[in-house]
Amino acid sequence: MDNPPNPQQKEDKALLALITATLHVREDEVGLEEIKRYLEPNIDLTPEDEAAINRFGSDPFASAPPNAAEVTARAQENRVMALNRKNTDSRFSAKTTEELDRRRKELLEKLRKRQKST
Amino acid sequence: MLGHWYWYRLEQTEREEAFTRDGAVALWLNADMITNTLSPADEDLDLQARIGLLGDRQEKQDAVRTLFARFQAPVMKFLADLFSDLDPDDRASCVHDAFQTIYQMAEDSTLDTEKPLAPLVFTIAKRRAIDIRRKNSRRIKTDGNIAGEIGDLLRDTETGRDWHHARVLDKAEEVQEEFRKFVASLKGQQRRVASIMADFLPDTLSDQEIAQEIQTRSGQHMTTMEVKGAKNALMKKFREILKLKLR
Repeated sequence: MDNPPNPQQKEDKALLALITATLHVREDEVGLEEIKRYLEPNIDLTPEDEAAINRFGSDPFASAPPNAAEVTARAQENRVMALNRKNTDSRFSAKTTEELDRRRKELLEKLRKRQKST
Repeated sequence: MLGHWYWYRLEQTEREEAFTRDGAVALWLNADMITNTLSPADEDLDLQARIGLLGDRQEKQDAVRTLFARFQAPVMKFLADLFSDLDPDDRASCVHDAFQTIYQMAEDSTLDTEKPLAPLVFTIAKRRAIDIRRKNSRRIKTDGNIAGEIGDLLRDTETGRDWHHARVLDKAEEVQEEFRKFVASLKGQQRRVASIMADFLPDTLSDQEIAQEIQTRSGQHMTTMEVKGAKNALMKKFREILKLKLR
């Protein structure tokens, strides 16, 4: 049977637990409340982050630098597939297309109303 | 009924519990909160992007570019705060990936245009960063397990008391922020160990298993002594920051 941890081991475990709590990121959805502070004007990025963003360029559809992570390769593969897909819109049934149109009109109307009220 | 003041004061886990407990009321509050949180300018931009994403291919791409121009830096900053153990290039690739995924979802017609897009962009970027952090790991525990066990490990320890004190003084977040900055400044082995510690509580992995996990995730070899040394350095720094904030 394992011996109970001595006081020093207990303290170390508590510290390690706090480190995990500090670095751990939950997989759940991000809420608006959580991102609010990042949406404020003049976000300060470190020079390293700024440089990384610049390396990737200002177009989300442009190629990433060759040394970028393999994740990017997957995303690019998706993009190439999307761009090469023939006649994309016709993949959907008439009903789906109709629903997409209806939704778009609804959002346009919402936007028009918002702009009128401001 | 739950009031806004009450809702905002809750921790994430408490919100989830409240959601389960109060069901529809909490759902209503959540929806109400969503419409009130984006600034009018961002709400307009979000709405315009959603309209564009329901259009033809060119409109979709333009919509994604508009979102990208507005949210690229905020998402990068968000990832920098949460994933200080990752390289800036990895974080930037997650940012790009998130916007490309939005485009892909619009192409596949799987995008929910009923909801604001901004949180979705942040969510996708966060999950990509988690993927990068974990790479091929098969040992990951669920979030629930980790959250539940931290309290037990802090109980009846000086560290736990200090932490409680820091929370009372509203310093806990500062401690965490400073520690994340410290992790961001690390290179190589220590940072890799920090990445593993983000997903595992003490006792879950031995130092040898941490070394194996590092090998799995990054292909880098570390000895158990090096793992131990890196862990000690991380603990020392955390303790220092905590004590300093309590002075």
